Amino acid sequence: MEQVNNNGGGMTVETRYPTMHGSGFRVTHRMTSVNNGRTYMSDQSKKSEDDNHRIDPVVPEAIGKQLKRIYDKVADEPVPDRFSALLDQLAKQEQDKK
Amino acid sequence: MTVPDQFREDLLEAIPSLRAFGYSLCGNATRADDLVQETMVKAWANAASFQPGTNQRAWLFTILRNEFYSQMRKKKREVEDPEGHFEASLFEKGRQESHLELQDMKRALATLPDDQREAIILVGASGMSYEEAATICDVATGTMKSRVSRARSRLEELLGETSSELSQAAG
Repeated sequence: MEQVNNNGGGMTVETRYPTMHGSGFRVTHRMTSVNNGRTYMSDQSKKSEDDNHRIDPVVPEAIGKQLKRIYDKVADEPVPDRFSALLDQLAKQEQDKK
Repeated sequence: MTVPDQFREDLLEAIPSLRAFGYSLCGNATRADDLVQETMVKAWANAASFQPGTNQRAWLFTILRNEFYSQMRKKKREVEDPEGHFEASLFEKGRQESHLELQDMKRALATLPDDQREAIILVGASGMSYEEAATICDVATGTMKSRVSRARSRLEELLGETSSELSQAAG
């Protein structure tokens, strides 16, 4: 466990894993920065095997959650009036045609 | 032909997910709602070709998706944008209340190739099955699976990079 102190801002980045090799520092940051780091980490390490021919389409939780938040934010909004008005208008046009 | 009440009810019910799908695809709330409006008009006009009892939500998603790409092609021609700046503007104006983390995801989404973006949205966010997503995008289920897989790898890469840049900027 190590701590990196921020310049001035007072922010501290805590790393939960020891740095094992050159790229360890960066990887560690990556893991602490993404929520649900565990899922993310295991998928990350598995990725190289999947890259070319194997198809492993499972959407990892870290990604799925964020995608759903973007999607659900809109899906949970009430339907704007313009759309129910449009439906009324379409129905009316149809009646007028007869 | 008379548009059945059931069709109309289901259409109304599908609007929230159509709006969400549109927004996830194009990254712009106003454009998304225009897409939904166009989708509703087209769906109504083609109500006769819809088989009752089949998956209306998937049918509507297909219309919206086709409309999205046809508008994008048109727009590209109009503004002569061979470099794809139009696409780069996707999600640029994220909704203000969004968290930084989601902004990263939106930016990452915008850089995905179209086929991968729609695949991961359909399967990862809208709750469509691989089969439904494949039908909507008019490809084989296996193709859909490999698109989702590639989108996922790409997003992991992109989000990994952004996160480490952010930590470096903060540290």
